[in-house]
Amino acid sequence: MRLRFADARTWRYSMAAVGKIIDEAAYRFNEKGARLRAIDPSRIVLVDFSIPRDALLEYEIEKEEVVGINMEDLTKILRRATKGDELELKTLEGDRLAVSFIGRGTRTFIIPSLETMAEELPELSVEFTVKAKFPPSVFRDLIKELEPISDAIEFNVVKDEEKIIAKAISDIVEAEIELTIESGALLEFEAKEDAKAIYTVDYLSDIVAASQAAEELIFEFGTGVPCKIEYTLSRGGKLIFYVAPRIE
Amino acid sequence: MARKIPWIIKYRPKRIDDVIDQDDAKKQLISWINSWLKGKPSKKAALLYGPAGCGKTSLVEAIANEYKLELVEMNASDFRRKQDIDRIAKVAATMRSLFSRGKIILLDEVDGISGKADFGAIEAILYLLEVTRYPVIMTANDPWNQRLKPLRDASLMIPFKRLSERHVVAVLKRICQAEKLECEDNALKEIARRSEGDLRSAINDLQGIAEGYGKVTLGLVRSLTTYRDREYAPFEALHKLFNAKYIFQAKSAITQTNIDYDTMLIWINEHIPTYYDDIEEMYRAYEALSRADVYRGRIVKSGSWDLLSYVFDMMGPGVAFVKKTYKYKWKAYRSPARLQLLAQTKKARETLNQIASILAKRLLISRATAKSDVVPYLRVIFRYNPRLAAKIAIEYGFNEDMIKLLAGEKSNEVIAYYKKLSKK
Repeated sequence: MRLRFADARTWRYSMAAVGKIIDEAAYRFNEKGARLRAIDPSRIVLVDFSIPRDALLEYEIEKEEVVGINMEDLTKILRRATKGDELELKTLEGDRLAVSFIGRGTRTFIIPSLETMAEELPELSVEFTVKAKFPPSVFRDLIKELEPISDAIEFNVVKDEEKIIAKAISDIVEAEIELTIESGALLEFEAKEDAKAIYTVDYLSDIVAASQAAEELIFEFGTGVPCKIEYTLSRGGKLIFYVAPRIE
Repeated sequence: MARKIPWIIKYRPKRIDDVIDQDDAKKQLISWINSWLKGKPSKKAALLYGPAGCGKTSLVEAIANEYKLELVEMNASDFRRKQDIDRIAKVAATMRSLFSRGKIILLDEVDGISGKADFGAIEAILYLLEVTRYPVIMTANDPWNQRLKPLRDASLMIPFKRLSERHVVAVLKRICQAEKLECEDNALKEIARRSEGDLRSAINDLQGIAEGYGKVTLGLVRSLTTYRDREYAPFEALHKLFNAKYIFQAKSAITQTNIDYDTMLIWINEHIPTYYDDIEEMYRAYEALSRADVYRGRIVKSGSWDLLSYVFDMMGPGVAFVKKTYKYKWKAYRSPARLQLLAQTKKARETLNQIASILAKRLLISRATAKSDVVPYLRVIFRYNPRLAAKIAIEYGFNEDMIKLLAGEKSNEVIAYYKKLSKK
């Protein structure tokens, strides 16, 4: 297997977020493209990273391959990606993976692939009642502002008012952020009904580490159901996180 | 992916009925899980304990599978530290499932938590039990460690038995059939015997031979599998020790227990009369044991740890081979009275030491002298002259625990005077 991707930094920032949540993961390369699906040890966050074949500059594949990777090793290498670098991934003999940055010269790193039992994760079927599109940086700032206050963030939506209110409450301090389309915080907003849900801030804060990788972020949730945070990567790639809600 | 899956994973029980034996444990655990599903469990956690490879983890996995519960598993290697427990188990315990199902939180091998290196881990688990919304199941080989007491108190204790040879053979046979393997019956029996009730190691041995040779015969089993070093509960080790046929068996019984050899010495000391009926045998056994103790003393005095092997020789074979004729005997070995007494009197001894150190400082004597020469007089005074005793108590600054220890049944009177006098 050999693939070439136009902007190495997309992978850099995506994997930075994934690596914070998951220690080991398996990439699956097949005729559709590259995909990584994994669940964190506490089984609260599901990660789904996919790059379709069309998004790749070059792609050579004979048969489906699964490559297990230690995320810490991979993120450490990907951190070397700079502007203008292209990324090349290539599987080598003896279960190894070559990661190359092609920009000013070609830098190649070779890491071993792990024997992971690729767990078959079921598809999630969740009915979201709220869908909002953010500039990724706005969503990141929202999380970072509420993070010091409390270990959980409550999202409230009143359908007719067309706004999302994010709250963090501690014993002493309360913080509230109001997001609307008029204020420029939201790009799009859609709600079928009123909704209220609480998610733990730790994982959200890990997830927003990927915001530099994407142009848009779609945040979907509903009362008492998991939320879905989807980063739209260049050329049809997607980085999706599902986070389970807190029990009230 | 043509990687070979270990059979212990491939033939992991999918249903509760597939888990061999352990009917009592199954019943207890299932009714506890049901009480969780209905809402109000008596205890939030269950602690499954028993020897390695008897089906503790497998049963939890089978239940999760059958009840369609999500299993969040933490192994000993993942939950060393407080942060890890908070990050994984606590989060899982307070969040809903992604797949909108119930969950079981499994903390495997909690006896692997060490006191010093994993400081705070036990407290973190206790906090987890407080906040959890889902059943928490722990497993342990040896749950009797002092450090695990808080966990024992907070959990429903479910014992698992060591599997019998017959049960191990039954499972091995099932696997042979599924793998279409040619297996000799007495070969399987031999594997089972050597596994000593550890199904996991038996299956590993079976796979090792089967994949190497394509068939399993008695000859192959004899030449390829070994007895493993195992850990035994003290009573199992004593049974092996006293009934040893060979020197090496008696010696390994000492080193394969899950208690240290100092404690083992106390166990043997207690149980020489339990096992031996003949007075001369008893005498000779104690002779050997006392010699072990002499070596122990020399180690402490001179720091010559090379003498340790003589301690083992005297404690093990020395004690076991004093019998005049060999006869296999089954006896019940209870926890030594001395250890129980020490545990019961722990607080009183501490208080006595405190009194001794107060006296030692004031009277310019050693604590040992204070205990032997002064405390007995104080006991008399405290029992016969409460008023004077109260004055002494105030003068020396004794607290209520100390007064109670010295005054015994008269402590109420002494304390009454003590309160009256100290008000003035």
